[in-house]
Amino acid sequence: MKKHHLILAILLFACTTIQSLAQSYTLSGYVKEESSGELLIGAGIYIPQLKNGITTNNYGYYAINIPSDTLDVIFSMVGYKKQVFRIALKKDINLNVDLISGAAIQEIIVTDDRIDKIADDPQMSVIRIPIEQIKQIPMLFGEKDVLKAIQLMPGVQKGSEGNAGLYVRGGGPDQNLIILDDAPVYNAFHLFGFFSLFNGDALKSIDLYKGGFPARFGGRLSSVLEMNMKDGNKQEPKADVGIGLLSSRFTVEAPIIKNKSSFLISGRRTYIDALTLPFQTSNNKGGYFFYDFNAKFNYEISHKDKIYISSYFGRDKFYAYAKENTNSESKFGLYWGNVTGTLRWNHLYNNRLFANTAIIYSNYQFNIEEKETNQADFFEIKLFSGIRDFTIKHDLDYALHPNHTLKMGISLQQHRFTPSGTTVNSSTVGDLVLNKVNSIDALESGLYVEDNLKIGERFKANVGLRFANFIVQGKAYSALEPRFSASYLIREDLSVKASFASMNQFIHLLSSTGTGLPTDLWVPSTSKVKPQLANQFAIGIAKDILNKNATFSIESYYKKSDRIVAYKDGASFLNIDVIGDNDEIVWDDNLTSGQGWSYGTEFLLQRRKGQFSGWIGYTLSWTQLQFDEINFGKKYFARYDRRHDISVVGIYEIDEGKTFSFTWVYGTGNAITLPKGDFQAPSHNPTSNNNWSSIYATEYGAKNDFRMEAYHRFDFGLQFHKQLKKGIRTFEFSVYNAYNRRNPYFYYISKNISGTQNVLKKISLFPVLPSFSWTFKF
Amino acid sequence: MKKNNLIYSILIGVLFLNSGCEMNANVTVPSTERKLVVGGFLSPKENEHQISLSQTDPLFSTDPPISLANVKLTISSDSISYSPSYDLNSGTFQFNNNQFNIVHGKNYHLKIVTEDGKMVESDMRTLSNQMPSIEEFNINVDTVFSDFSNQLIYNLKLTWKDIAGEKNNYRLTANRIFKYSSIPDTTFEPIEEYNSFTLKDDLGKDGQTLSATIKFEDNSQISETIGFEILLMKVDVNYYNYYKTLNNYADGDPFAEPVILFSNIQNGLGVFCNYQTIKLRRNLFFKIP
Repeated sequence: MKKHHLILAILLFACTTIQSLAQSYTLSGYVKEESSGELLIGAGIYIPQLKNGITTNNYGYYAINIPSDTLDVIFSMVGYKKQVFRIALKKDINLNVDLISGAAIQEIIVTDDRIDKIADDPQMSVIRIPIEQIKQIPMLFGEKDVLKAIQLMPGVQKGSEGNAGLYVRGGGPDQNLIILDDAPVYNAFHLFGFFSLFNGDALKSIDLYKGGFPARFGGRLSSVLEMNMKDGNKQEPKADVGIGLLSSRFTVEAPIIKNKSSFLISGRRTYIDALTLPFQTSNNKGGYFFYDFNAKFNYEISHKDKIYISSYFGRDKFYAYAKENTNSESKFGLYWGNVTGTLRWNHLYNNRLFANTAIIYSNYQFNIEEKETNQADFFEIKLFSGIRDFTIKHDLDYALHPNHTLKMGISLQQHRFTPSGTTVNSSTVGDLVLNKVNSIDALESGLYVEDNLKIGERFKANVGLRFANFIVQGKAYSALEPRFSASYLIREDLSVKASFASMNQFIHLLSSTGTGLPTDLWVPSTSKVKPQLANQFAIGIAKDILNKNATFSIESYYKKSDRIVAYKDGASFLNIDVIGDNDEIVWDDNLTSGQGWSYGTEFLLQRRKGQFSGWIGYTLSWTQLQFDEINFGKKYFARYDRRHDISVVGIYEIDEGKTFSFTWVYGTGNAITLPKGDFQAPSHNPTSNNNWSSIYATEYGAKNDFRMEAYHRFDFGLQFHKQLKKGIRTFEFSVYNAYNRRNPYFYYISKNISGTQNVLKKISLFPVLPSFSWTFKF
Repeated sequence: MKKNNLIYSILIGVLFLNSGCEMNANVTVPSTERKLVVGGFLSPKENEHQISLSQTDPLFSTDPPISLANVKLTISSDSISYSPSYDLNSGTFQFNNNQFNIVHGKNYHLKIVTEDGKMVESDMRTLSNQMPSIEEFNINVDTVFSDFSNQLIYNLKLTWKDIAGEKNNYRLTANRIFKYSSIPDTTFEPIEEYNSFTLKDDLGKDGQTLSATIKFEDNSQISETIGFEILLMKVDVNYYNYYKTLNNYADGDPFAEPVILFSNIQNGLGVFCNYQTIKLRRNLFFKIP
């Protein structure tokens, strides 16, 4: 019976679609930034007479089927001046539009277009922060970090002081899919988690999905962070140079063939190593630095074909060198980094059907090297681990009908996990004494279809289905993941929204509580550790406050996770053997599977443009976990369960040359397990006459039953912009933790001054920290 | 191991570099009081029994230790009870079957009261008289290259048939029997050495054949292994749960997940439980190369 209903619905859908198609034409084209030729992602195309609209895809392309008529078409985007066209549609029309940026026309752009309104968007639980706004938010050491900006939004939490890890709606940092130009990034951190990889100068867009995931995304439970790099200026050469306390950066972009091809190169390097050099001797030295490069090239072969090649390359290097005498020296190095590469080909089969084919490479590797030399003899050991992916994917956007825009696609991803590898060279034993690499191959695939549909003038939805499959060591897992996100417009400026998403995660992170250390290790599902699963429901209200150019939203969510993984009691990431003596997988013996419940409500009042912009976010949430093998099977609060989380971000343009910005954050303290006492735990020795002994043990209460102090902090920054002859100079002074709050990083137990009593002590990382930076854009 | 040391050093280094701000925590520490810690591993097969008693040392308390001078333990079953005296030197209560008999399939109640009124209690039921039947005891020897030298790995595998119709938990432990080889003219008696243990339950395998393996890495240069003794213990659920958590203890690793020890002692810590043992010994009949 159900099957018959489905067939009937499909036939009805097909009939109405075909009937409508006979009377409609396609309006399509690209939307670009006027000054640079940069294709704009998420630009709005709205037709007031039809009360219908769409947005450009990740390649700036749009296609909409509309009935034959004379219609107004509005093109708009936040920060750009809108453009209105009156079109008499009697055939398919290709309309490429150039939008003028707010910065270029030196005035505040205030658009009143429906498409900028959140009430009309069927997608919920998505965070979009303009890159330019991120650059104005004060941050630690003045380093502009996109992940830390996202941490300031409701529903997203940081793990610990200064850390760039994301905890989205109660999920762990391993449950975030981070993609840069379609390439997954497996370790998104520099400097042991204090900075993220992503250089804001090279990025064009950042979208974070917290729920209601469109079917084109899969593979992680809690969030999708999608970032796209700039294509490069197609009109004229541009450069951007920045000097900060910890790092300097540059970006160069220029046309290769004007309006047809361009490139972008962006780089960043820290100089902590150089600053410490004067304090080191030539015989004993060490240091740390990181660098990263982004590069992108694009070429428009024809109106129908475009090619993009983009790449990210980044390394962290921690090194030490010691020379005891002329014959003896030792070197030690710790290196880690990501490499991604994406080759994309956009093809228009026709005005309605847009295709993107991508070949993607991603590699994360962590290495430890040590070499000791004594006269002619040497001993060298190299240890490494990592994950490497090759992916091929094909995505289609099809403007089927005025009320139906389809997205569909397929992806195949070949993972190679290398949990451990060892190479040993020694001159005394022979050239190569050991070369052992343990790798596990897996194939992950996805097939999806999405329909952006509209019923009547008030109801919009994104409905999708994804089929996910994972094959590892002869074991196959597959799952169907339904997705749904919809909005119903109550008034022009007010809508109710709802979403549901089912997600599976086939790979797991063996992590040190998610601090982003390079030792974090990705491993596949096995027969013992099955894929993680989450179902998330959300409902919400979205309100546009038109006269204030602001938006307000409330979203409540409930997420149930199953088969999530955690370390068993007593397990430590330092002592986990990933591969056994007979090359069998043994890391899964250290993990246990359980369930999680996350629920809460998020409030967001946001103003993305205007003289005074920013947002106020508040999250009230609960996150509980239950594992049969932890806390005796009883539920407990997750470490990052945060009852209250508040963030206030303000950016005030004092005048054309000055910008003042501030942030204030508050969060309930983390839940941790604090020792209460010591005791001799009795132990039974069945072979002894005195059949018991004891071991030294620690008394704990229940798991995570102690709350750390609440976290709060105030930062502010002042930017001075000046138009010089050859470009714009920006000088920034910012203060992190302005009222010198000593937020706890971790606790430990020590004796008081008189040595008579234990006291709980805390280590806090960052006191009040002023910083300066200088940027020149020309 | 070398890798772990390196990572550990780096982590400590990073924390050290960042640990400029150290001060007392501005938070109320959990109020803790001293608790009694009981260790009662009893067996109906044994004639002598002992129950240990100690106390915790709270981290955030200046309370004086609990006086155990006049502590009273009462063990009872049905309407019979017995109160052995506490030996302060060994920290145990001791008694034998003539004083109070521990028998199969009975409920036992333990109650300990200190002179200042602190009281802990616990209950257990002794196991049935039935023991599993041993089917096979194998010793396999592998040679592996580890830490740049060859090492002998002894795999001791025991197979037994579970007792049908009851939920059973087992602990398997073994002893290495060896003699010193550094003084060849002197004959030494075999010496038993505590080595390792494995826990096993019959969940989903009631009445079926079970097996467990204990691995022993022999890297001793001064002694010669001549055999092994293996002990299969049928243990009650309290014993099993207690050892399951005790087994997870990782000493000295600050990054290890905390282990909360199981306890069935009301208002206290430790365990009151029972077991039965089958002991098997096997000498090596082959010469290890």
